[in-house]
Amino acid sequence: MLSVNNLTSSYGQAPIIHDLSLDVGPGEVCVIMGPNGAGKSTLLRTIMGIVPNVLSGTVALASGRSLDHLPTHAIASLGIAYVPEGRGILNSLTVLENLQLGTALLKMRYPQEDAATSMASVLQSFPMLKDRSRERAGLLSGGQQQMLAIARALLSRPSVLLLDEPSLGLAPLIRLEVANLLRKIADSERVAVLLAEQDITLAQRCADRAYVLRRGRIVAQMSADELHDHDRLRELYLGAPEVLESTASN
Amino acid sequence: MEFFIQLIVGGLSVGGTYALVALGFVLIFGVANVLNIAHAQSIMLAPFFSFILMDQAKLPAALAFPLALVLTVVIALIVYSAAIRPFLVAGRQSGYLAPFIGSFGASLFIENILAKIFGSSSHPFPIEIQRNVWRLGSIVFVPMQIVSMACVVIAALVLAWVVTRSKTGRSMRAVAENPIVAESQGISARRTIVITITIATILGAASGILFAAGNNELSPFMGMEYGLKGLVVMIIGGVTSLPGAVVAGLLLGIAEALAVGYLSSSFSMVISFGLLFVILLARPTGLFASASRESRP
Repeated sequence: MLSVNNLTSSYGQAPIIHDLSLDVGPGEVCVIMGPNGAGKSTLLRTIMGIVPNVLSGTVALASGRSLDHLPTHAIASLGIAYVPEGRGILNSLTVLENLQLGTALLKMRYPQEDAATSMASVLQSFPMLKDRSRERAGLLSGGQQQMLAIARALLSRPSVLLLDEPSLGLAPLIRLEVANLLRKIADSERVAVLLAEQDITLAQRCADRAYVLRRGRIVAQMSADELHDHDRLRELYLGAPEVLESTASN
Repeated sequence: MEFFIQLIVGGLSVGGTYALVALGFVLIFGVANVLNIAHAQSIMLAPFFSFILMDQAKLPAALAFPLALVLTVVIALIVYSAAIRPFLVAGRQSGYLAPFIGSFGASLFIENILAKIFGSSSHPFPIEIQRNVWRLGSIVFVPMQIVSMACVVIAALVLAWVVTRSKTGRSMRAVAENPIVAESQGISARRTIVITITIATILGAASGILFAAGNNELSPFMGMEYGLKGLVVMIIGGVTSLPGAVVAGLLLGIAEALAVGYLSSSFSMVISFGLLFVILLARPTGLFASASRESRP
């Protein structure tokens, strides 16, 4: 569904993402994990065409459609939904107007679709949004904003969903709710979900696979079961045990 | 008292036109995040194009005005593409200063080209203005005042509808608040900015035609003269507030009319900047302040 091949990108001269390759299939939830500064957000931003300096490599959909050198809005209109870090809610717009951005994208991709039916269906899944549809989105709580961001993304009926740290600033129970929701979206809508996440619990809850990133490079690929191996994860996050011991003794 | 009311009527008429100029500045600043000084020249270009089309090409006003608007929009978009956009390309972002200087240079360029072609002195605006007056009790209306106020009201209502109710307005507000999020929702920020500049230029051009018709003269320097007042109105209104621009425009128009009526016509600019100074002392962020990007149009 989404294929990243030998991607190297940078903000300035120095590359942030180095020769990175990964695939996410339909109905699969794939997590990019890693410490701060590993390049998780930059990877998602590169896929979305927000990072301008792609030094080498390609990003393509399963159909063979290349995303290289496309502006962000064109990538979005190909069915790649992106929920950035901080949720990307437009605070000055109402909840309904935020959702209408999703239906506008839907109509762009599928002109014959009935936006009102799609809206009604999504609002049924997120009744809280229906109750507060006339309010400014900035007045919602963090969890509600996250739900709004996901609902808006779903309205465009994407084939790929990119999420950057969806657990950020959310209470543990809400994080679980988000994890369950992502799992459900992947299973029922066959959406390929790629999320950058530091919360291992959320990843364990919904991921099929995980890539661990350090300094812009994939240092490990793990199955869902391996995500429960805490020692292995700690080592990948922080370095080899002998390095850790030496740092601690110093 | 009658004299006072008469001055208020005149002030509202002129102030509404200042508001149109300021609305253009506010829209462009709010959506594109650029202080586009060259926008001031749309005030001058539209009457000049009208002048050329009516006086030289002998076109009727009904055809000349829309054509003049189109030509002014074309020039505004060329200025944006050549003097502003190169500084806004991702990876070359240079803050406020470079696009500001670019637009300022373009503004001077246009002004000087027009002065070179048509001379520095004023020209009569080639439209028959009805000089007879209408009376409402003891208050006297010049027809141009009614036309001007009607244009301002219609433009403000249409703009309010576009910004708050239409899909285009929703895109404008989305780009104004967060261009990256807007782009990730399939909205082309570049296209939205072009639409915004088009709307702003139509407002500026309309106000220019109203100024020229009201004063029955046009000069290559009228763009900067009224543009400066538009900027004053924009700042008094809170920089990014559309209702603020309307209220501040009317306020400045009334203040100027009272100053001219009770003091002297030479006080016009003194009043503009004096009012700006006093209001900024009391409210440094303007009357309808909205400091964050998210509250922009």
